[in-house]
Amino acid sequence: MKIIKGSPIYLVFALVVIGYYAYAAFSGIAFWESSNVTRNTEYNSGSRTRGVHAFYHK
Amino acid sequence: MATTNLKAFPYAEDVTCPKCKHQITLYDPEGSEFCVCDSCHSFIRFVANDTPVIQKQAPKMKQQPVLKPGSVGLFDGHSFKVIAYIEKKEKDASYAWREYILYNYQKGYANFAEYDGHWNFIAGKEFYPELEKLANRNWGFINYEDNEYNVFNKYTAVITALTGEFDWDLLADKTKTTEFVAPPQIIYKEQDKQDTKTADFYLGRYVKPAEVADAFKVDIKLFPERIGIGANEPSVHAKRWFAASRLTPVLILLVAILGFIIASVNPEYQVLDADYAIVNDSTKANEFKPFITPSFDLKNATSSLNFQIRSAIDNNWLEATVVLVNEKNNQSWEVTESIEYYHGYEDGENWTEGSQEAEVLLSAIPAGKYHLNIYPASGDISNKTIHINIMANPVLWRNFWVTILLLCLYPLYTWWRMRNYEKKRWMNSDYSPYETDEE
Repeated sequence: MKIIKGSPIYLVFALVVIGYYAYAAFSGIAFWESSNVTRNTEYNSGSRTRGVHAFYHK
Repeated sequence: MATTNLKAFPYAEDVTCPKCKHQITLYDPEGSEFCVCDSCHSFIRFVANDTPVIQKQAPKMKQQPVLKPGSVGLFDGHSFKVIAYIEKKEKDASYAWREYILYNYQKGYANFAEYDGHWNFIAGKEFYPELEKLANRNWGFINYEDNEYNVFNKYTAVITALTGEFDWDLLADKTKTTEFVAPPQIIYKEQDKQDTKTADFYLGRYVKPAEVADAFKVDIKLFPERIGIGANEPSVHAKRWFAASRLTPVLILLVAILGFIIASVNPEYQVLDADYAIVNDSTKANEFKPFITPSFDLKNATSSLNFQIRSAIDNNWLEATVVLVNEKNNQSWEVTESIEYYHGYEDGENWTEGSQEAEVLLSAIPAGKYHLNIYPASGDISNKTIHINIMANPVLWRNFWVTILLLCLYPLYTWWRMRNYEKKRWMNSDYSPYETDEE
């Protein structure tokens, strides 16, 4: 109890960090993914019209 | 000796100064053997039949005491009366401080010492019986009640002014004092002579001026302003560091346990692991024909995916653009990864550079049916295969280490603040354990 009283802000911060860590682990969220990943480069709601993906979507 | 084992303060008595006939009030007439006349500053001794005799001239006071002689206060559960005020300085140095002698009718004397606005309540074995166990060793530290007190200062005090009553001849005092600190406490070792084996020990506790003001009902505005850091002033940074240093290992253990539980509940599984034949595209330099992998399902609401791309290249390179495609809505994740692997023999030694595999981590991929579009290119047109391995829900070590790092930031900060604070404290000491800039 004395330890908790000694650093209440740190405890709150730590619990938030640990809470997000647990949430990320359950949800498959990496704090950062590989830097060269580009999301939805050619995404337009289901149809592909250009770029390298034009012929390879099923 | 102070008059003790009473149920109340003894009645005060007035005596007449033999020199100027000024009335001097004694608050412990039985116990006090010396007093100072406030009017003519004679240092008076009471000899047989309590006859006052002028012994010498006392130096005049330079400052007005904050606590007036005769004032009464309840401090630390004890009732005290201020019976004397002394101004002292260090011999051969300019450091000066003030002391207030406190008289308690049950236990005897204690005192307040004030230096640069920092106050200590100091008492001997009558108040702290454990002090009796301390022995005079010429060590740089003292162990007392599970704490190590480190030597902070050594000096001989010189009295520059005094008033009030005493049970010993202060002006003849040539006591050598050594201070040992373990904030918020301090131990004073006093020796009459440098080489004597016996010593008296006193324990001091750092006191906020407001505590003294409150106990003796004195206006806090009259108290001297605090300057710098007191020898045994408690450090809020040390308190935070000690709390954080005990809490952090528990939190790290909690993170490890949580990680283990989550990895058990939501285990890693393989979604793709196959070799794919690649065919050189003769129309383009270094490029191979693109191909599509079989479909695979991701069942969790969101998953992380770890791609491993491997090819048996030899002294060459391979580059592959890999596109993860959601077959329901064409949402895509594109990544281009290069592999280079070179090796040789030079100056009698084998060398290698690079690797035949690369890894890519994708985060928070929604549930659904997916396939990969792969666009390979390589400097080795004889290359025949590329191996793709995809694991879902891999252990995210980067999350683990970042969490640990975040949890360690605050303890590291408090440690740094504590260390800076302690360095400043010990700048006032000749016995600092910290290196100074001059060294």
